[in-house]
Amino acid sequence: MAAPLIGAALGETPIPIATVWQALANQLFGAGYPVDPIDQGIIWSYRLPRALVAGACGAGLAISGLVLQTLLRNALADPYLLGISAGASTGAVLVAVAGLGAAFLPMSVGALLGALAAFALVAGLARLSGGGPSARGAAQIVLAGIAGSQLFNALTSFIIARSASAEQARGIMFWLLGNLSGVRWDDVWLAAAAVTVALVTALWHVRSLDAFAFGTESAASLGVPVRRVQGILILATAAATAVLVSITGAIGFVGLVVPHAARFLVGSRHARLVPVSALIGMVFLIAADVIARMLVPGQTLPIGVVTALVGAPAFAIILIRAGSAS
Amino acid sequence: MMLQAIDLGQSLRGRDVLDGISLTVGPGQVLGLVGPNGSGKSTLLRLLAGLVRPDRGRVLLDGQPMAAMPQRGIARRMALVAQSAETSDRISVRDAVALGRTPWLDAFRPWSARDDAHVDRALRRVDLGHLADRDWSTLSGGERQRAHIARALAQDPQILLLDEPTNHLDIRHQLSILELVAGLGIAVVIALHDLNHAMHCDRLAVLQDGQLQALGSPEKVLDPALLARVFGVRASALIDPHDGSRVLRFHPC
Repeated sequence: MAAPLIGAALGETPIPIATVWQALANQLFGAGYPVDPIDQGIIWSYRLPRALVAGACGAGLAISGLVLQTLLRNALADPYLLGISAGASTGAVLVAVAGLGAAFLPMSVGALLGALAAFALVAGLARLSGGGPSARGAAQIVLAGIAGSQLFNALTSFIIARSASAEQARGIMFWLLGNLSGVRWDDVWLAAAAVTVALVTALWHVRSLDAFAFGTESAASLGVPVRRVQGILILATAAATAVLVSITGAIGFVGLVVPHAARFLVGSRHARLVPVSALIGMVFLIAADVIARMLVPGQTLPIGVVTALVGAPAFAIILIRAGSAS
Repeated sequence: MMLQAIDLGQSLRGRDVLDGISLTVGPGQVLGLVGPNGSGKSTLLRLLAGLVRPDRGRVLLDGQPMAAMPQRGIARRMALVAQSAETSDRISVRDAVALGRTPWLDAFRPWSARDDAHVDRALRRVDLGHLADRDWSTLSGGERQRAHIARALAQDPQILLLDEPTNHLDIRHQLSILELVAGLGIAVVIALHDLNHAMHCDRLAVLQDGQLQALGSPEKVLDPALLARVFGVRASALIDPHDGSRVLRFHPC
Protein backbone atom coordinates (compact mmCIF):
# COMPACT_ATOMS: atom_id res chain seq x y z
CA MET A 1 0.00 0.00 0.00
CA ALA A 2 2.82 2.38 0.90
CA ALA A 3 4.79 1.76 -2.30
CA PRO A 4 2.54 3.74 -4.70
CA LEU A 5 2.50 6.66 -2.25
CA ILE A 6 6.28 6.70 -1.94
CA GLY A 7 6.45 6.37 -5.71
CA ALA A 8 4.20 9.42 -5.97
CA ALA A 9 6.38 11.39 -3.55
CA LEU A 10 9.63 10.83 -5.45
CA GLY A 11 10.44 12.58 -8.70
CA GLU A 12 12.21 15.54 -10.16
CA THR A 13 10.47 17.75 -7.61
CA PRO A 14 10.35 15.68 -4.44
CA ILE A 15 7.10 16.14 -2.55
CA PRO A 16 6.94 15.25 1.17
CA ILE A 17 4.98 12.07 1.83
CA ALA A 18 2.75 14.00 4.24
CA THR A 19 1.74 16.28 1.38
CA VAL A 20 0.94 13.20 -0.71
CA TRP A 21 -1.37 12.02 2.07
CA GLN A 22 -2.99 15.41 2.31
CA ALA A 23 -3.50 15.66 -1.45
CA LEU A 24 -5.04 12.22 -1.40
CA ALA A 25 -7.34 13.16 1.46
CA ASN A 26 -8.34 16.36 -0.32
CA GLN A 27 -9.18 14.49 -3.48
CA LEU A 28 -11.01 11.54 -1.93
CA PHE A 29 -12.75 13.05 1.09
CA GLY A 30 -12.61 16.78 0.41
CA ALA A 31 -10.49 17.18 3.54
CA GLY A 32 -9.43 20.72 2.63
CA TYR A 33 -5.77 20.56 3.63
CA PRO A 34 -3.80 23.54 2.35
CA VAL A 35 -1.87 21.89 -0.52
CA ASP A 36 -0.31 23.85 -3.39
CA PRO A 37 -2.68 23.27 -6.34
CA ILE A 38 0.29 22.49 -8.57
CA ASP A 39 1.49 19.78 -6.17
CA GLN A 40 -2.07 18.59 -5.90
CA GLY A 41 -2.25 18.31 -9.70
CA ILE A 42 1.12 16.59 -10.03
CA ILE A 43 0.21 14.03 -7.40
CA TRP A 44 -3.35 13.28 -8.36
CA SER A 45 -3.26 13.49 -12.17
CA TYR A 46 0.29 12.49 -12.90
CA ARG A 47 2.35 10.65 -10.31
CA LEU A 48 -0.27 8.60 -8.49
CA PRO A 49 -1.87 7.00 -11.57
CA ARG A 50 1.61 6.41 -12.92
CA ALA A 51 2.75 4.66 -9.74
CA LEU A 52 -0.45 2.63 -9.57
CA VAL A 53 -0.14 1.48 -13.20
CA ALA A 54 3.52 0.63 -12.62
CA GLY A 55 2.57 -1.39 -9.54
CA ALA A 56 -0.27 -3.21 -11.31
CA CYS A 57 1.98 -3.91 -14.27
CA GLY A 58 4.74 -5.32 -12.07
CA ALA A 59 2.32 -7.53 -10.18
CA GLY A 60 0.62 -8.77 -13.36
CA LEU A 61 3.85 -9.56 -15.20
CA ALA A 62 5.28 -11.31 -12.12
CA ILE A 63 2.20 -13.54 -11.79
CA SER A 64 2.30 -14.30 -15.53
CA GLY A 65 5.96 -15.26 -15.34
CA LEU A 66 5.41 -17.43 -12.28
CA VAL A 67 2.47 -19.28 -13.83
CA LEU A 68 4.35 -19.87 -17.09
CA GLN A 69 7.44 -21.10 -15.24
CA THR A 70 5.36 -23.56 -13.23
CA LEU A 71 3.17 -24.85 -16.05
CA LEU A 72 6.01 -25.24 -18.55
CA ARG A 73 8.49 -26.57 -15.94
CA ASN A 74 10.91 -24.01 -17.27
CA ALA A 75 12.94 -21.62 -15.12
CA LEU A 76 13.36 -19.26 -18.08
CA ALA A 77 9.69 -18.92 -19.03
CA ASP A 78 8.37 -15.37 -19.01
CA PRO A 79 5.81 -13.51 -21.15
CA TYR A 80 8.59 -11.36 -22.64
CA LEU A 81 11.00 -14.19 -23.52
CA LEU A 82 8.21 -16.41 -24.89
CA GLY A 83 7.13 -13.73 -27.34
CA ILE A 84 3.74 -13.08 -25.73
CA SER A 85 4.62 -9.43 -25.11
CA ALA A 86 5.92 -9.07 -28.67
CA GLY A 87 2.68 -10.53 -30.03
CA ALA A 88 0.66 -8.18 -27.84
CA SER A 89 2.70 -5.23 -29.14
CA THR A 90 2.02 -6.26 -32.73
CA GLY A 91 -1.70 -6.55 -32.05
CA ALA A 92 -1.83 -3.21 -30.28
CA VAL A 93 0.18 -1.41 -32.96
CA LEU A 94 -1.95 -2.96 -35.67
CA VAL A 95 -5.02 -1.47 -34.03
CA ALA A 96 -3.43 1.89 -33.22
CA VAL A 97 -1.70 2.51 -36.53
CA ALA A 98 -3.49 0.56 -39.18
CA GLY A 99 -6.67 2.25 -37.98
CA LEU A 100 -8.72 -0.73 -36.95
CA GLY A 101 -10.20 1.60 -34.30
CA ALA A 102 -8.15 3.86 -32.08
CA ALA A 103 -10.50 3.81 -29.08
CA PHE A 104 -8.85 2.26 -26.05
CA LEU A 105 -10.62 -1.03 -25.56
CA PRO A 106 -10.07 -2.24 -29.12
CA MET A 107 -6.32 -1.63 -28.64
CA SER A 108 -6.18 -4.01 -25.68
CA VAL A 109 -8.33 -6.50 -27.57
CA GLY A 110 -5.87 -6.28 -30.46
CA ALA A 111 -3.07 -6.88 -27.97
CA LEU A 112 -4.88 -9.92 -26.55
CA LEU A 113 -5.35 -11.46 -29.99
CA GLY A 114 -1.70 -10.77 -30.79
CA ALA A 115 -0.59 -12.31 -27.50
CA LEU A 116 -2.62 -15.47 -28.05
CA ALA A 117 -1.42 -15.80 -31.64
CA ALA A 118 2.18 -15.47 -30.45
CA PHE A 119 1.74 -18.03 -27.69
CA ALA A 120 0.06 -20.49 -30.04
CA LEU A 121 2.90 -20.08 -32.53
CA VAL A 122 5.62 -20.46 -29.90
CA ALA A 123 3.92 -23.43 -28.21
CA GLY A 124 3.45 -25.15 -31.57
CA LEU A 125 7.05 -24.53 -32.56
CA ALA A 126 8.31 -25.77 -29.18
CA ARG A 127 6.22 -28.94 -29.52
CA LEU A 128 7.45 -29.65 -33.04
CA SER A 129 11.05 -29.17 -31.99
CA GLY A 130 10.72 -31.46 -28.97
CA GLY A 131 10.29 -28.85 -26.23
CA GLY A 132 9.43 -30.28 -22.87
CA PRO A 133 10.47 -30.50 -19.27
CA SER A 134 13.90 -31.99 -20.02
CA ALA A 135 16.96 -29.74 -20.05
CA ARG A 136 17.12 -29.78 -23.84
CA GLY A 137 13.35 -29.31 -24.10
CA ALA A 138 13.56 -26.24 -21.87
CA ALA A 139 16.09 -24.72 -24.23
CA GLN A 140 13.83 -25.53 -27.19
CA ILE A 141 10.94 -23.60 -25.62
CA VAL A 142 13.14 -20.53 -25.10
CA LEU A 143 14.51 -20.78 -28.64
CA ALA A 144 10.97 -21.01 -29.99
CA GLY A 145 10.18 -17.89 -27.93
CA ILE A 146 13.09 -16.05 -29.53
CA ALA A 147 11.91 -17.03 -33.00
CA GLY A 148 8.39 -15.86 -32.14
CA SER A 149 9.61 -12.58 -30.63
CA GLN A 150 11.74 -11.83 -33.68
CA LEU A 151 8.87 -12.56 -36.03
CA PHE A 152 6.38 -10.39 -34.17
CA ASN A 153 8.88 -7.56 -33.65
CA ALA A 154 9.54 -7.63 -37.40
CA LEU A 155 5.80 -7.51 -38.07
CA THR A 156 5.48 -4.54 -35.70
CA SER A 157 8.30 -2.69 -37.47
CA PHE A 158 6.72 -3.51 -40.81
CA ILE A 159 3.35 -2.12 -39.75
CA ILE A 160 4.97 1.04 -38.38
CA ALA A 161 7.12 1.57 -41.48
CA ARG A 162 4.17 1.06 -43.79
CA SER A 163 1.42 2.90 -42.06
CA ALA A 164 2.63 5.25 -39.36
CA SER A 165 3.52 8.91 -39.78
CA ALA A 166 6.98 9.95 -38.58
CA GLU A 167 5.57 11.41 -35.39
CA GLN A 168 3.42 8.35 -34.69
CA ALA A 169 6.43 6.13 -35.31
CA ARG A 170 8.56 7.98 -32.76
CA GLY A 171 5.84 7.74 -30.13
CA ILE A 172 5.33 4.05 -30.79
CA MET A 173 9.02 3.21 -30.68
CA PHE A 174 9.23 4.88 -27.26
CA TRP A 175 6.13 3.04 -26.09
CA LEU A 176 7.50 -0.31 -27.35
CA LEU A 177 10.40 -0.09 -24.88
CA GLY A 178 7.99 0.28 -22.00
CA ASN A 179 6.69 3.71 -21.21
CA LEU A 180 4.53 4.99 -18.40
CA SER A 181 4.32 8.65 -19.29
CA GLY A 182 0.85 9.81 -20.11
CA VAL A 183 -1.03 7.13 -18.16
CA ARG A 184 -4.38 8.37 -16.83
CA TRP A 185 -6.87 7.14 -14.30
CA ASP A 186 -8.68 5.19 -17.05
CA ASP A 187 -5.49 3.17 -17.46
CA VAL A 188 -5.36 2.52 -13.71
CA TRP A 189 -8.77 0.86 -13.70
CA LEU A 190 -7.98 -1.22 -16.77
CA ALA A 191 -4.61 -2.34 -15.37
CA ALA A 192 -6.18 -3.13 -11.98
CA ALA A 193 -8.87 -5.23 -13.66
CA ALA A 194 -6.25 -7.15 -15.66
CA VAL A 195 -4.15 -7.87 -12.58
CA THR A 196 -7.19 -8.88 -10.54
CA VAL A 197 -8.15 -11.45 -13.18
CA ALA A 198 -4.63 -12.91 -13.25
CA LEU A 199 -4.28 -12.88 -9.44
CA VAL A 200 -7.66 -14.45 -8.68
CA THR A 201 -7.21 -17.12 -11.36
CA ALA A 202 -3.74 -18.00 -10.05
CA LEU A 203 -4.88 -18.05 -6.41
CA TRP A 204 -7.84 -20.27 -7.27
CA HIS A 205 -5.42 -22.79 -8.81
CA VAL A 206 -2.62 -22.76 -6.22
CA ARG A 207 -2.97 -26.48 -5.42
CA SER A 208 -2.99 -27.45 -9.07
CA LEU A 209 0.10 -25.30 -9.63
CA ASP A 210 1.83 -27.06 -6.71
CA ALA A 211 0.98 -30.42 -8.29
CA PHE A 212 3.07 -29.55 -11.37
CA ALA A 213 6.25 -29.78 -9.25
CA PHE A 214 7.08 -33.22 -10.67
CA GLY A 215 5.83 -32.58 -14.20
CA THR A 216 2.56 -32.70 -16.10
CA GLU A 217 2.10 -36.49 -15.91
CA SER A 218 2.54 -36.42 -12.18
CA ALA A 219 0.02 -33.57 -11.96
CA ALA A 220 -2.46 -35.62 -14.01
CA SER A 221 -2.01 -38.64 -11.76
CA LEU A 222 -2.74 -36.35 -8.78
CA GLY A 223 -6.13 -35.59 -10.30
CA VAL A 224 -5.35 -32.25 -11.96
CA PRO A 225 -7.19 -31.86 -15.29
CA VAL A 226 -3.93 -30.75 -16.88
CA ARG A 227 -5.15 -29.42 -20.22
CA ARG A 228 -8.04 -27.46 -18.72
CA VAL A 229 -5.88 -25.93 -15.98
CA GLN A 230 -3.12 -25.03 -18.44
CA GLY A 231 -5.68 -23.52 -20.82
CA ILE A 232 -7.42 -21.38 -18.18
CA LEU A 233 -4.22 -20.16 -16.56
CA ILE A 234 -2.39 -19.38 -19.79
CA LEU A 235 -5.44 -17.60 -21.17
CA ALA A 236 -5.84 -15.50 -18.00
CA THR A 237 -2.17 -14.55 -17.75
CA ALA A 238 -1.82 -13.90 -21.50
CA ALA A 239 -4.90 -11.66 -21.29
CA ALA A 240 -3.44 -9.76 -18.35
CA THR A 241 -0.08 -9.42 -20.12
CA ALA A 242 -1.79 -8.19 -23.28
CA VAL A 243 -3.83 -5.52 -21.49
CA LEU A 244 -0.77 -4.34 -19.57
CA VAL A 245 1.34 -4.25 -22.73
CA SER A 246 -1.35 -2.20 -24.47
CA ILE A 247 -1.03 0.40 -21.68
CA THR A 248 2.71 0.46 -21.01
CA GLY A 249 4.42 -1.35 -23.86
CA ALA A 250 6.44 -4.53 -23.45
CA ILE A 251 8.46 -4.38 -20.22
CA GLY A 252 10.99 -7.19 -20.05
CA PHE A 253 12.53 -9.27 -17.28
CA VAL A 254 9.96 -8.54 -14.54
CA GLY A 255 8.11 -11.79 -15.17
CA LEU A 256 11.38 -13.70 -15.34
CA VAL A 257 13.27 -12.39 -12.33
CA VAL A 258 10.58 -11.64 -9.73
CA PRO A 259 9.25 -15.23 -9.33
CA HIS A 260 12.79 -16.46 -8.70
CA ALA A 261 13.27 -13.84 -5.99
CA ALA A 262 9.94 -14.87 -4.46
CA ARG A 263 10.89 -18.57 -4.52
CA PHE A 264 14.15 -17.74 -2.84
CA LEU A 265 12.23 -15.97 -0.07
CA VAL A 266 9.21 -18.23 0.59
CA GLY A 267 9.91 -21.59 -1.07
CA SER A 268 7.86 -23.26 -3.78
CA ARG A 269 4.32 -23.45 -2.33
CA HIS A 270 2.09 -21.37 -4.59
CA ALA A 271 -0.29 -20.31 -1.82
CA ARG A 272 2.52 -18.03 -0.67
CA LEU A 273 4.42 -17.74 -3.95
CA VAL A 274 1.58 -16.11 -5.93
CA PRO A 275 0.86 -13.20 -3.54
CA VAL A 276 4.54 -12.66 -2.71
CA SER A 277 5.47 -12.57 -6.41
CA ALA A 278 2.71 -10.05 -7.05
CA LEU A 279 3.94 -7.89 -4.17
CA ILE A 280 7.61 -7.98 -5.18
CA GLY A 281 6.66 -7.30 -8.80
CA MET A 282 4.63 -4.29 -7.74
CA VAL A 283 7.38 -2.77 -5.60
CA PHE A 284 10.06 -3.60 -8.18
CA LEU A 285 8.32 -1.84 -11.03
CA ILE A 286 7.36 1.23 -8.98
CA ALA A 287 11.00 1.51 -7.91
CA ALA A 288 12.16 0.98 -11.52
CA ASP A 289 9.83 3.77 -12.63
CA VAL A 290 11.17 6.16 -9.99
CA ILE A 291 14.72 5.39 -11.15
CA ALA A 292 13.69 5.83 -14.79
CA ARG A 293 12.33 9.28 -13.96
CA MET A 294 15.27 10.41 -11.82
CA LEU A 295 18.40 8.76 -13.30
CA VAL A 296 18.96 11.29 -16.10
CA PRO A 297 18.01 14.81 -14.97
CA GLY A 298 15.44 16.48 -17.18
CA GLN A 299 14.67 13.29 -19.07
CA THR A 300 12.59 10.14 -18.49
CA LEU A 301 14.08 6.85 -19.63
CA PRO A 302 11.83 4.10 -20.94
CA ILE A 303 11.15 1.87 -17.92
CA GLY A 304 12.10 -1.18 -19.98
CA VAL A 305 15.66 0.11 -20.06
CA VAL A 306 15.83 0.09 -16.26
CA THR A 307 14.25 -3.36 -15.85
CA ALA A 308 16.63 -4.75 -18.47
CA LEU A 309 19.65 -3.25 -16.71
CA VAL A 310 18.62 -5.06 -13.52
CA GLY A 311 17.04 -8.07 -15.20
CA ALA A 312 19.68 -9.09 -17.72
CA PRO A 313 22.37 -9.84 -15.10
CA ALA A 314 19.78 -11.65 -12.98
CA PHE A 315 18.80 -13.64 -16.08
CA ALA A 316 22.45 -14.63 -16.51
CA ILE A 317 22.61 -15.87 -12.92
CA ILE A 318 19.41 -17.93 -13.33
CA LEU A 319 20.79 -19.37 -16.56
CA ILE A 320 24.02 -20.46 -14.86
CA ARG A 321 22.21 -21.92 -11.85
CA ALA A 322 19.69 -23.78 -14.02
CA GLY A 323 22.61 -25.22 -15.99
CA SER A 324 24.44 -26.47 -12.91
CA ALA A 325 21.25 -27.93 -11.35
CA SER A 326 20.44 -30.31 -14.21
CA MET B 1 -11.98 -51.90 -6.01
CA MET B 2 -11.53 -53.72 -9.30
CA LEU B 3 -9.30 -52.57 -12.14
CA GLN B 4 -10.06 -54.12 -15.50
CA ALA B 5 -8.45 -53.74 -18.90
CA ILE B 6 -10.37 -54.99 -21.91
CA ASP B 7 -8.58 -55.60 -25.19
CA LEU B 8 -6.30 -52.55 -24.82
CA GLY B 9 -4.27 -51.44 -27.81
CA GLN B 10 -1.99 -48.48 -28.45
CA SER B 11 -0.15 -47.46 -31.61
CA LEU B 12 2.77 -45.13 -32.06
CA ARG B 13 3.67 -43.97 -35.58
CA GLY B 14 1.80 -46.87 -37.15
CA ARG B 15 3.45 -49.49 -34.95
CA ASP B 16 1.51 -51.38 -32.27
CA VAL B 17 3.12 -50.66 -28.90
CA LEU B 18 0.39 -52.65 -27.17
CA ASP B 19 -2.18 -54.99 -28.61
CA GLY B 20 -5.05 -57.03 -27.24
CA ILE B 21 -4.23 -56.69 -23.53
CA SER B 22 -6.96 -57.91 -21.20
CA LEU B 23 -6.44 -58.34 -17.46
CA THR B 24 -8.14 -57.84 -14.11
CA VAL B 25 -6.83 -56.95 -10.65
CA GLY B 26 -9.00 -57.13 -7.54
CA PRO B 27 -8.62 -55.90 -3.97
CA GLY B 28 -5.64 -57.33 -2.11
CA GLN B 29 -4.12 -58.76 -5.28
CA VAL B 30 -0.64 -57.97 -6.53
CA LEU B 31 -0.22 -58.30 -10.29
CA GLY B 32 3.37 -58.20 -11.55
CA LEU B 33 4.21 -56.92 -15.05
CA VAL B 34 7.37 -58.46 -16.44
CA GLY B 35 8.98 -58.39 -19.86
CA PRO B 36 12.15 -57.28 -21.62
CA ASN B 37 12.97 -53.60 -22.16
CA GLY B 38 10.58 -51.97 -24.60
CA SER B 39 7.92 -54.66 -24.20
CA GLY B 40 5.27 -52.08 -23.28
CA LYS B 41 5.17 -52.25 -19.46
CA SER B 42 5.35 -48.50 -18.93
CA THR B 43 2.87 -47.78 -21.71
CA LEU B 44 0.42 -50.26 -20.20
CA LEU B 45 0.73 -48.62 -16.78
CA ARG B 46 0.10 -45.19 -18.27
CA LEU B 47 -3.04 -46.48 -19.99
CA LEU B 48 -4.23 -48.12 -16.77
CA ALA B 49 -3.54 -44.86 -14.88
CA GLY B 50 -5.70 -42.91 -17.31
CA LEU B 51 -2.81 -40.62 -18.32
CA VAL B 52 -3.16 -41.67 -21.95
CA ARG B 53 -6.36 -42.55 -23.77
CA PRO B 54 -6.04 -46.00 -25.32
CA ASP B 55 -6.41 -46.17 -29.10
CA ARG B 56 -8.37 -49.40 -28.75
CA GLY B 57 -10.15 -51.10 -25.86
CA ARG B 58 -11.29 -49.80 -22.49
CA VAL B 59 -10.19 -49.53 -18.87
CA LEU B 60 -12.87 -50.09 -16.22
CA LEU B 61 -12.81 -49.07 -12.57
CA ASP B 62 -15.35 -51.14 -10.66
CA GLY B 63 -17.14 -51.75 -13.94
CA GLN B 64 -17.31 -48.03 -14.83
CA PRO B 65 -15.44 -46.85 -17.96
CA MET B 66 -12.54 -44.72 -16.80
CA ALA B 67 -12.66 -42.55 -19.94
CA ALA B 68 -15.89 -40.98 -18.58
CA MET B 69 -14.48 -40.20 -15.12
CA PRO B 70 -13.05 -36.84 -14.08
CA GLN B 71 -9.29 -36.84 -13.46
CA ARG B 72 -9.82 -36.05 -9.78
CA GLY B 73 -12.20 -38.98 -9.34
CA ILE B 74 -9.60 -41.32 -10.83
CA ALA B 75 -6.87 -39.88 -8.59
CA ARG B 76 -8.96 -40.53 -5.46
CA ARG B 77 -9.10 -44.22 -6.33
CA MET B 78 -5.76 -44.82 -7.98
CA ALA B 79 -2.17 -43.64 -7.52
CA LEU B 80 0.80 -44.02 -9.84
CA VAL B 81 4.50 -44.13 -9.02
CA ALA B 82 6.10 -43.35 -12.37
CA GLN B 83 9.75 -43.86 -13.27
CA SER B 84 12.06 -40.91 -12.74
CA ALA B 85 9.70 -38.01 -11.97
CA GLU B 86 12.06 -35.22 -10.99
CA THR B 87 11.90 -31.60 -9.92
CA SER B 88 14.30 -28.68 -9.70
CA ASP B 89 12.03 -26.90 -7.20
CA ARG B 90 13.22 -26.23 -3.70
CA ILE B 91 10.68 -28.49 -2.01
CA SER B 92 10.83 -30.38 1.28
CA VAL B 93 10.17 -34.12 1.45
CA ARG B 94 7.05 -33.49 3.52
CA ASP B 95 5.70 -31.00 0.94
CA ALA B 96 6.41 -33.46 -1.87
CA VAL B 97 4.51 -36.21 -0.05
CA ALA B 98 1.72 -33.75 0.83
CA LEU B 99 1.07 -33.36 -2.92
CA GLY B 100 -0.60 -36.76 -2.63
CA ARG B 101 -3.51 -35.08 -0.84
CA THR B 102 -4.23 -32.88 -3.90
CA PRO B 103 -7.23 -34.87 -5.21
CA TRP B 104 -8.92 -34.68 -1.78
CA LEU B 105 -8.61 -30.90 -1.37
CA ASP B 106 -10.40 -27.96 -2.88
CA ALA B 107 -11.44 -24.43 -1.97
CA PHE B 108 -14.19 -25.77 0.30
CA ARG B 109 -12.17 -28.57 1.88
CA PRO B 110 -8.86 -27.03 2.89
CA TRP B 111 -5.89 -28.81 4.43
CA SER B 112 -6.75 -30.32 7.83
CA ALA B 113 -5.25 -32.44 10.60
CA ARG B 114 -6.54 -35.54 8.80
CA ASP B 115 -4.35 -34.72 5.81
CA ASP B 116 -1.37 -34.30 8.14
CA ALA B 117 -2.09 -37.74 9.57
CA HIS B 118 -2.15 -39.30 6.09
CA VAL B 119 1.19 -37.67 5.25
CA ASP B 120 2.80 -38.77 8.54
CA ARG B 121 1.61 -42.33 8.11
CA ALA B 122 2.80 -42.50 4.51
CA LEU B 123 6.25 -41.19 5.51
CA ARG B 124 6.52 -43.77 8.31
CA ARG B 125 5.47 -46.62 6.05
CA VAL B 126 8.38 -46.03 3.69
CA ASP B 127 10.74 -45.36 6.59
CA LEU B 128 11.32 -41.69 5.73
CA GLY B 129 9.91 -40.02 8.85
CA HIS B 130 13.36 -38.83 9.90
CA LEU B 131 13.95 -37.08 6.54
CA ALA B 132 10.61 -35.25 6.38
CA ASP B 133 12.08 -31.77 6.67
CA ARG B 134 15.01 -32.36 4.32
CA ASP B 135 15.19 -30.64 0.96
CA TRP B 136 14.29 -32.85 -2.02
CA SER B 137 17.58 -32.12 -3.80
CA THR B 138 19.58 -33.60 -0.89
CA LEU B 139 17.94 -37.05 -1.16
CA SER B 140 19.64 -40.06 -2.73
CA GLY B 141 17.98 -41.82 -5.66
CA GLY B 142 16.59 -44.51 -3.38
CA GLU B 143 15.21 -42.01 -0.89
CA ARG B 144 13.50 -40.14 -3.72
CA GLN B 145 11.90 -43.35 -4.92
CA ARG B 146 10.58 -44.07 -1.43
CA ALA B 147 9.28 -40.49 -1.15
CA HIS B 148 7.40 -40.98 -4.43
CA ILE B 149 5.82 -44.13 -2.99
CA ALA B 150 4.91 -42.21 0.17
CA ARG B 151 3.28 -39.54 -2.02
CA ALA B 152 1.23 -42.24 -3.73
CA LEU B 153 0.22 -43.75 -0.37
CA ALA B 154 -0.81 -40.30 0.92
CA GLN B 155 -3.31 -40.31 -1.93
CA ASP B 156 -5.03 -43.10 0.03
CA PRO B 157 -5.66 -45.13 -3.14
CA GLN B 158 -7.49 -48.40 -3.54
CA ILE B 159 -5.38 -49.21 -6.57
CA LEU B 160 -1.65 -48.59 -6.72
CA LEU B 161 0.37 -48.67 -9.95
CA LEU B 162 4.17 -48.80 -9.71
CA ASP B 163 6.67 -48.62 -12.56
CA GLU B 164 9.84 -50.46 -11.51
CA PRO B 165 9.83 -48.98 -8.00
CA THR B 166 12.83 -51.02 -6.84
CA ASN B 167 15.22 -49.43 -9.33
CA HIS B 168 17.89 -47.41 -7.52
CA LEU B 169 17.16 -49.08 -4.19
CA ASP B 170 19.61 -51.06 -2.11
CA ILE B 171 18.62 -54.65 -1.41
CA ARG B 172 17.19 -53.98 2.06
CA HIS B 173 14.89 -51.27 0.75
CA GLN B 174 14.00 -53.34 -2.33
CA LEU B 175 12.72 -56.07 -0.05
CA SER B 176 10.98 -53.67 2.31
CA ILE B 177 9.16 -51.99 -0.58
CA LEU B 178 8.00 -55.36 -1.95
CA GLU B 179 6.87 -56.40 1.51
CA LEU B 180 5.07 -53.09 2.01
CA VAL B 181 3.31 -53.37 -1.35
CA ALA B 182 2.20 -56.94 -0.67
CA GLY B 183 0.81 -55.98 2.74
CA LEU B 184 -1.25 -52.97 1.60
CA GLY B 185 -4.39 -55.02 1.07
CA ILE B 186 -5.31 -52.96 -2.02
CA ALA B 187 -5.06 -53.82 -5.70
CA VAL B 188 -1.50 -53.39 -6.95
CA VAL B 189 -0.01 -53.49 -10.44
CA ILE B 190 3.78 -53.43 -10.34
CA ALA B 191 6.25 -53.51 -13.22
CA LEU B 192 9.39 -55.39 -12.19
CA HIS B 193 12.71 -56.26 -13.75
CA ASP B 194 13.94 -58.79 -11.21
CA LEU B 195 12.13 -62.08 -11.91
CA ASN B 196 12.93 -63.42 -8.45
CA HIS B 197 11.10 -60.41 -7.00
CA ALA B 198 8.26 -61.13 -9.41
CA MET B 199 7.94 -64.58 -7.83
CA HIS B 200 6.36 -62.89 -4.78
CA CYS B 201 3.44 -61.47 -6.80
CA ASP B 202 0.05 -63.18 -6.70
CA ARG B 203 -0.07 -63.26 -10.47
CA LEU B 204 2.23 -62.27 -13.31
CA ALA B 205 1.51 -60.80 -16.73
CA VAL B 206 4.35 -61.38 -19.19
CA LEU B 207 4.66 -58.83 -21.98
CA GLN B 208 6.66 -59.11 -25.17
CA ASP B 209 6.47 -56.66 -28.10
CA GLY B 210 3.25 -55.25 -26.70
CA GLN B 211 1.50 -58.63 -26.53
CA LEU B 212 0.43 -60.53 -23.46
CA GLN B 213 2.43 -63.78 -23.58
CA ALA B 214 1.16 -65.33 -20.36
CA LEU B 215 -1.00 -64.48 -17.37
CA GLY B 216 -1.14 -66.58 -14.22
CA SER B 217 0.63 -67.60 -11.03
CA PRO B 218 4.41 -67.04 -11.05
CA GLU B 219 5.18 -70.76 -10.69
CA LYS B 220 3.10 -71.60 -13.76
CA VAL B 221 4.09 -68.62 -15.88
CA LEU B 222 7.86 -68.52 -15.42
CA ASP B 223 8.65 -71.90 -16.90
CA PRO B 224 11.91 -72.57 -18.75
CA ALA B 225 10.25 -72.54 -22.19
CA LEU B 226 8.71 -69.09 -21.70
CA LEU B 227 11.89 -67.66 -20.14
CA ALA B 228 13.88 -68.83 -23.16
CA ARG B 229 11.30 -67.52 -25.65
CA VAL B 230 10.59 -64.10 -24.06
CA PHE B 231 13.78 -63.19 -22.22
CA GLY B 232 16.29 -65.21 -24.24
CA VAL B 233 17.82 -66.88 -21.19
CA ARG B 234 18.21 -70.44 -19.93
CA ALA B 235 16.86 -70.71 -16.38
CA SER B 236 17.37 -73.30 -13.69
CA ALA B 237 15.22 -73.41 -10.58
CA LEU B 238 16.71 -74.04 -7.13
CA ILE B 239 14.98 -74.54 -3.83
CA ASP B 240 15.91 -72.16 -1.02
CA PRO B 241 16.56 -74.38 2.03
CA HIS B 242 15.52 -71.47 4.29
CA ASP B 243 11.82 -71.48 3.34
CA GLY B 244 11.46 -74.01 0.54
CA SER B 245 10.61 -71.38 -2.09
CA ARG B 246 11.74 -71.59 -5.70
CA VAL B 247 14.67 -69.42 -6.83
CA LEU B 248 15.63 -68.86 -10.47
CA ARG B 249 19.15 -68.67 -11.79
CA PHE B 250 19.78 -67.45 -15.32
CA HIS B 251 22.35 -68.34 -17.94
CA PRO B 252 22.84 -67.16 -21.50
CA CYS B 253 21.10 -69.43 -24.01
